[in-house]
Amino acid sequence: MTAADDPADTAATPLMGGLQRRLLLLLLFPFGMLVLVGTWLHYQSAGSAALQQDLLLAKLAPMLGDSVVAAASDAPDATPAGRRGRSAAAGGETAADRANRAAEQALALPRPVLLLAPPVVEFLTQTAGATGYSISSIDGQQLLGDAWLPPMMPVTREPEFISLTQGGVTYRVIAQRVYTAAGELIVQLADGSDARQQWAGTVLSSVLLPNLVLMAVAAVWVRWAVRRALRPLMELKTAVEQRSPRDLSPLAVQATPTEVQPLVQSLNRLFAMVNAQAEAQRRFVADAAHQLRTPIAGLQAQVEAWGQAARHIEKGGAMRLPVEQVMRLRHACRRTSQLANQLLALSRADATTAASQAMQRVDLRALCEAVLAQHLDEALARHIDLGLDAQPAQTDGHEWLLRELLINLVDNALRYTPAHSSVTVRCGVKDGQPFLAVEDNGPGIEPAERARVLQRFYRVPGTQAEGNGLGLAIADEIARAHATQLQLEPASGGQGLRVSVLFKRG
Amino acid sequence: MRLLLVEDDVMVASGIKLGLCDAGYAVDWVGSAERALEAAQAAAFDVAVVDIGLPKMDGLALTAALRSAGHAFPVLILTARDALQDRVQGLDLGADDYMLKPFELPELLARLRALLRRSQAATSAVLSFGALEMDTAHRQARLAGAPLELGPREWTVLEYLLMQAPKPAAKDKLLQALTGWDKEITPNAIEVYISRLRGKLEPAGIVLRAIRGFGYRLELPATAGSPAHDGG
Repeated sequence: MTAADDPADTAATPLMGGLQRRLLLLLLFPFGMLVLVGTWLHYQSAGSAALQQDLLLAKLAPMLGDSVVAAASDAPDATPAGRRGRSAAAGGETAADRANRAAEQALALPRPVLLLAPPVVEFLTQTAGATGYSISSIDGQQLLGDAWLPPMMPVTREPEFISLTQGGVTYRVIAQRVYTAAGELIVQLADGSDARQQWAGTVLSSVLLPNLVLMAVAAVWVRWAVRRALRPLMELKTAVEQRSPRDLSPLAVQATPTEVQPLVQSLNRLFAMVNAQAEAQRRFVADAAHQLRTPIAGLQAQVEAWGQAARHIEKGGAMRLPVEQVMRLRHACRRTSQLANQLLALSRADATTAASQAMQRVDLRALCEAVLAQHLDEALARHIDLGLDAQPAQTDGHEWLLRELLINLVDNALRYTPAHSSVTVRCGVKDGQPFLAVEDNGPGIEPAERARVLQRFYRVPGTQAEGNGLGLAIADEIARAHATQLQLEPASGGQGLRVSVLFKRG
Repeated sequence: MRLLLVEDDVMVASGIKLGLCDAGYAVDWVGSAERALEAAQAAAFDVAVVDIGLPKMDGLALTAALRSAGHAFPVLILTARDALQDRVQGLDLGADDYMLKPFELPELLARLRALLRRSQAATSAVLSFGALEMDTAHRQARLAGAPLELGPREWTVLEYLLMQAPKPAAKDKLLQALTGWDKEITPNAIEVYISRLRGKLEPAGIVLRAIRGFGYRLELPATAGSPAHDGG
């Protein structure tokens, strides 16, 4: 009944198949439970049906006793009773007829006179062939009734019940000692209308079958209804599926059902974010390519010039290169590779990339020591006193990104601080917040320029030192990936620059 | 010092080879991991520089193969990929250090010197730095071939500095190294030993530089262009 039964349907719309299956199960499960509970309750009522049967028999047995009107064994006297029974039967051989015939055959015994009470007649005739009676003396000798009934001899006056099977029919038989007009006798009544069987038939025809039919109908209907109700969702799915990766325009919110609108709105928000990111990426690649051109142009110009000069030299010959030119070339190369590294760092520092990895506990002091050691030679070459002021501090972050951040800050300070000045790498905890800072006593940055130096590729006008304008942008990007940002301020002496990152309290 | 260079890019390889030869290394250059394994069987190398992006078998696999073939010489991996995973994997597979491409020659030379000193210390118990040699087994130091007299605390400080070189040694680590000798030692006491050591090492051109807020570092007069080892 579920959508899964239809493989083509499932393959075409797995979303719908899943929902359909789920809805069907959810709806049909309580329904099935209802059917089961109903059936169980009916089953319980079978017990009471059997009790009803016994009660009826117990009521009828004394009446059968009362039907014995005399002990006389006068044959003609019995006839009216038989006639009466026949007339009550209204056609067809009844148990009463058979009883009378059997009684006539038992002429040897003194037959009591029987005048069946109307409820007994009704009982004996209501289900033809499925009832029987017997009247016996207290020693078990049958006087009247159906010969197939086995003799029963109750000891007390309480009614006794047995069940017996005769000719494929299960009878409930009552036997009771009663005082009659013919003295103390044993009366027996048999009821072959099996209450439980009747009950089963009733349950099957009136409870189970209609319920099952109802369930089947409900399943078909639910399947249809789900399909119909989910149509807008399927249309949305198709609309999303058919989009090209470049098409990130928002989906129409109005055309979707109310319940799905939040989903569509979320999707639209995501589209907008991806759009903005893609745009930023495009702009960045364009900027990067533009920036890479400058140092590469320098390299190319230099080498082109040598190539030109080399044309006049024979094959296998050598040419002399001025030391200054070689050094300049090396410098251009280093600048190019530095730019490539920085561009790569910038792309990796992208907040979304960083967010995909788990943060770890980072020892800022160890980080400062490592970065300091790494820059000692450079500082030495630039005649800058590079020092450390590190207090124990830890923060949660991406160690490799924080290292990149600090490298860029130190690099920046060494690059833009004049010779014979000092640069200090600091870390510690300030008001419960861990921080990283790099401080120099160089020229500093004008307040008006401070916000702009964080922009990519921006360089302060008139700067002599070589750079790509990326160092602080990278550091800021990394700081933002750690839910904070770069702070630029004058160094503690009021002169120079202090660039710091204040991490969240941890 | 015999060096095995495994690099398939001719331009990069010729540049590195030129620089290393100039620094005093005997360089054997091969272009593939397979030929590198043959070369390692044929000759004894002191150190190898292996590019990670080799055709067929890559640099990491080569390192693992070298190690499983029983070659213990230090391996420095060159990589243009800088994913953290590569670094960790490389070091796990038996590489001793790695460098990102592109790199500057002086840095490569410094790394190689550090690698060689470490492998030398592991095998011979003799540490060397420029003209300085410290035989840790016999507790004898020599400077430019002549015996160098060192007090026990001076020895401890210098040995620690030498183990760290070319990286700087943190002052508090030096203090810890000295606490075996004195229960209570002040940072000022270290400065005493440092100044004594300076007096002994400076005639041989070895500089003991103070790093503000951090510690001290042993330096050779011209870090960039000097040969890898005086004795190599």
